[in-house]
Amino acid sequence: MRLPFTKRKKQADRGQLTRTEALACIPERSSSVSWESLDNESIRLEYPLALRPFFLSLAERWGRRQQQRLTRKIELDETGTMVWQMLDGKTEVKAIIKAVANKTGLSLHESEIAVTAFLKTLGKRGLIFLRQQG
Amino acid sequence: MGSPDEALRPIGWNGIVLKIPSSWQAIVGGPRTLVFEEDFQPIFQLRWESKKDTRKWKIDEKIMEIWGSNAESLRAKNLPSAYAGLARRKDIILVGLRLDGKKNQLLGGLKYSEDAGSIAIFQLLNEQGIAEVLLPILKTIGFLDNRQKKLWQIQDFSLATPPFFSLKDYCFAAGRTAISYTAKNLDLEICIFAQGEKRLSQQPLYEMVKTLADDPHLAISQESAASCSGIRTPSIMRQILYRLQRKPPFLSCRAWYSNQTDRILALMLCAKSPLPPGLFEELCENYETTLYKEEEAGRQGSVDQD
Repeated sequence: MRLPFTKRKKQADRGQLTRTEALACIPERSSSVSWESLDNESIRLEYPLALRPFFLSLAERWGRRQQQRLTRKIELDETGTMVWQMLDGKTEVKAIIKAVANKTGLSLHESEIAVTAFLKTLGKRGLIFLRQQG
Repeated sequence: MGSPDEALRPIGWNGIVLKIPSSWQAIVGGPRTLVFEEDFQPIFQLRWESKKDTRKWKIDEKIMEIWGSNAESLRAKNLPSAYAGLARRKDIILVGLRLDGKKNQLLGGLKYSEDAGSIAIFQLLNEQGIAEVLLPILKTIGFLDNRQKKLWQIQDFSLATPPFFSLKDYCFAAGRTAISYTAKNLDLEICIFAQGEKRLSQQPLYEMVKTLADDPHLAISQESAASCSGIRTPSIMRQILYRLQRKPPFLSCRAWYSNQTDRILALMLCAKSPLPPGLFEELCENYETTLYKEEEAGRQGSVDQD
């Protein structure tokens, strides 16, 4: 909890990456995520839902068994599927951006906006994490 | 980091034109700011401004304002050898930071034109390997005055507008570029949508035109499967209704699909009074995508310098 009348740390002090550093990172899938390929060549992801203890207790009261794992499923579109398949633990973010640009016909700048927004969404849900090289 | 043999391609944005190596990407950083990158590495930043008064540029004051008191303009005697070609140019001033003794670290510089009343300030973000391409790029920087057509050529499109249009707003999103301009009593908007074929499979072109014009009753004429126009020239009573709704009564809109680049281009011109004859057709003729031209320039590999 931040004390009142104290300044927030600047972005650099909080250890956040610059754009160049972030594009050189390697995204990796979280081990808690499972996925399956569907007939329409898209991918469906299933990941555990991280609930706060208060909501877990509510779930118990409403009859959900404690042992039952609460999960969420999402289905990726064609481009999302392509990006997900490139998350092999070896490919940098910028290589993914270039591959998406080549496949979809977007410019590099447009592809960067789309891919980084998608990776950010996956990261917020805990589906991937970024690993810095070196 | 680009090479002298690499083809240069033209860039134009809000009153400035220049040529950059075809392997560089130009990113709009602001209404009068461009950032150039190669392989996602920023190399070069360019911003420009116009003189507010008729007094001569005070270059030393400008340098101190931008780079601080430790920076100085580099004269021929202390210019790094790689930039010796710039010594003869009186309109280009390189700026460096004195490190120790006579050595200087190149920070950037200025290019100014008293005739055009404009100054361009460039900053090097990555000096490695840029010396060979810097001179050709700086030579090509030109300022457009109020009598010349403005060239807007960046990312994947090219448009030439009459000089009375000024930039109002812009948006470079994934798969969608939208730029709006304004002039006295006229508003112009252009859009480019990527993955055109996929979009057309979900929504026909005439529906896109109606959506862009925000008018479901727009009179549509379909010139071909890949091109569609809409026009609105209301009666006096309807003009009053549109004005009450704060919508410009007179409107022309066109959308077309470019098979070569898989892009849908759209252009809309609107006004409170009847549109100037020929202006809409002129703008449509000057509006095109440039992706395929960049690929051709890269393949040719020819040098294009002034």
